[in-house]
Amino acid sequence: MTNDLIKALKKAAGKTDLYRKMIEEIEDYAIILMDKHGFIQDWNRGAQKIKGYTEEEIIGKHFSIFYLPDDLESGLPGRLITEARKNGRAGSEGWRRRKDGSQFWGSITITAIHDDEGEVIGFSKVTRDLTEKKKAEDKLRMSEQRYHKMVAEIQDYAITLLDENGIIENWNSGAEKIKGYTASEILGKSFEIFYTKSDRESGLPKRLLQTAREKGKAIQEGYRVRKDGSRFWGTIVITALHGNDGKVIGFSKVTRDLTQQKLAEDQLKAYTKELEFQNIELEQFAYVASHDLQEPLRKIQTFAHLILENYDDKEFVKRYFEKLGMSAKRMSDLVKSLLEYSRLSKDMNEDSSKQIKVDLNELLSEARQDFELLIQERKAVIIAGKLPVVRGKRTQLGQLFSNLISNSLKFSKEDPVIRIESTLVKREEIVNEKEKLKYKNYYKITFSDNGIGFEQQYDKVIFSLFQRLHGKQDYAGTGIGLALCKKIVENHEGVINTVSEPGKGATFNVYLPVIGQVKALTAERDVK
Amino acid sequence: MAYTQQKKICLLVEDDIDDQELFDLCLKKTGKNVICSKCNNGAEALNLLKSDPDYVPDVIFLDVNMPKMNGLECLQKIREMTRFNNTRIFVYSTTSDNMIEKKSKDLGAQGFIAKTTRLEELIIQLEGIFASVETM
Repeated sequence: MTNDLIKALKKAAGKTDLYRKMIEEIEDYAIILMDKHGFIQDWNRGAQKIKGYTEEEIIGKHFSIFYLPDDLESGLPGRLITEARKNGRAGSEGWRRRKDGSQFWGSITITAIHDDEGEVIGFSKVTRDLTEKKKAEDKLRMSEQRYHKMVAEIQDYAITLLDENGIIENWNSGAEKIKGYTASEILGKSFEIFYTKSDRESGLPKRLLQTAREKGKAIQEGYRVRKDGSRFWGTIVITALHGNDGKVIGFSKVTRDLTQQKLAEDQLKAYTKELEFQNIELEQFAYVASHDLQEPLRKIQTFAHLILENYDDKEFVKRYFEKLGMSAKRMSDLVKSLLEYSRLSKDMNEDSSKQIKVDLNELLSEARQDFELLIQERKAVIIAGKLPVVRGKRTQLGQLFSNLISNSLKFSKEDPVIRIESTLVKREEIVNEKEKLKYKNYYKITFSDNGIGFEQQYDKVIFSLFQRLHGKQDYAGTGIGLALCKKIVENHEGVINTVSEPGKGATFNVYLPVIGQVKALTAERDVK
Repeated sequence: MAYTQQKKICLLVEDDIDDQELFDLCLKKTGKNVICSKCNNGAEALNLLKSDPDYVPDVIFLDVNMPKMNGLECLQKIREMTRFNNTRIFVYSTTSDNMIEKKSKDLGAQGFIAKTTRLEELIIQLEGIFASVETM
């Protein structure tokens, strides 16, 4: 039967020696001739090269010799033969064994050979060694797998894949961690879901996609919304993904949560601003020290010289001694004021937890007592509404009340009337120094009088250290009272402003923040 | 010359009455024939200068630190009015600050006089100023 096969084959395929030679010398394919049971009958050079057996060693052996134990156990060689017999051919890829026991990845095609009557008389088996290709493929697959794993498991970046319309197609664990949605909750939704309402309304997400589409990528920083509604500060890079034809087929979106950094940055900015502010204060202080304190000192020295030069003129000496004394007193007043002011600055940097609930009604009645004599003397009237309880430093707020009332009494004409009232206002209602307003609601406490007033253009100067609108001879004082008021209000995170017109009285508005529970205690009596 | 006999007009803008008095004292000691008016601050001085078109002082002395309007601001406003092109303006202050001295010159002041503890120095400076005004 074997001889029949060879004869038939030679008759069918190898009519010429040339043809046979061709098969024999092919090196890249193992071409094996088997009988109908799978026993090897012929063997080319490629087979020897790939499988390592010589022709003598292999002829007559069953082709299952190339198979690994597992494949043998599962009956793979038999199945292949059966299939080839039935269908004419059978193909398979898998690890096979060489003579030396090493393995190669073979791609095998077994083709049935028929006689003239259509009976299967044997098989040809063509095997190709694709080990290198297999290894490269495996490597690529591993690499892809690793890459997917890497993207999936990155925690610090939300990496999402969007389709060309911004619908989320892929979602890594970083995205889940940062944004709070699981993959099943978010896949298929638009990425606009992460944007704030106002950003969505302004069309920001659409603009970003458009930019990425046109320029390749879009970079943006801003607040985004988590699943629970909380916000985070994200830096976002959206990169367009292109198909082979150059068309945009989707986008990758990498988001990083920089909330902590943003907060730190904001805090740094606040510190810098605070420092700048303190620097300005320091400069003002240095100017005051160099100018305002020098003035009475210079006068004292001048008067002393004059007294010495006119020692015999008794009248002259008396007059200038008095002046000298007044200058010394002024110097002393200035130094005291400065000390008071610097103490307030120091207080400001202290722990705010030292603040307590202060009933402003109590402060007012204390101030009334302090000024009792002056009020009687001037025939002054203080009309006050119910005042709130605020959180703050009692002594400072007491000084604020005292300074503002004394100011109204000092710059009054006849029969001074001072009105003190409180209302609850929203931050938006306050017109000046908006950048300093951190709270939602404020108590607006107004001190208005019917005094001499001043021109509105001096509404800022009036609060500066040692700045006066009137000559020292007209109204006493060092020019620190309102500077202290401003400092105290600022210490309490509030603002102060003033409205006036010459001859028509002045109004000082003090805005103190409504903090926490204090509101509940006092809101009832304030909102009438 | 007949001119030299003529009284010179001087305006002192100064909020401190002691300093006004000391200035008068020194002016008197110069022996110059000068009428000196006084204003308590810059705003008051400007009102005076604007209200009377015939009032053109030969010399104006401006203190720096004053309520309502300081001397430098006042200097700038006076220099904006061509009527006072020939008026000599001196900034007169306790502050011995180079920046203020420079700013005064930049704004068109002829000089800066520091208030000192020795009145003799002021007398000598005033003598010099009024001597040069007489030859104008």
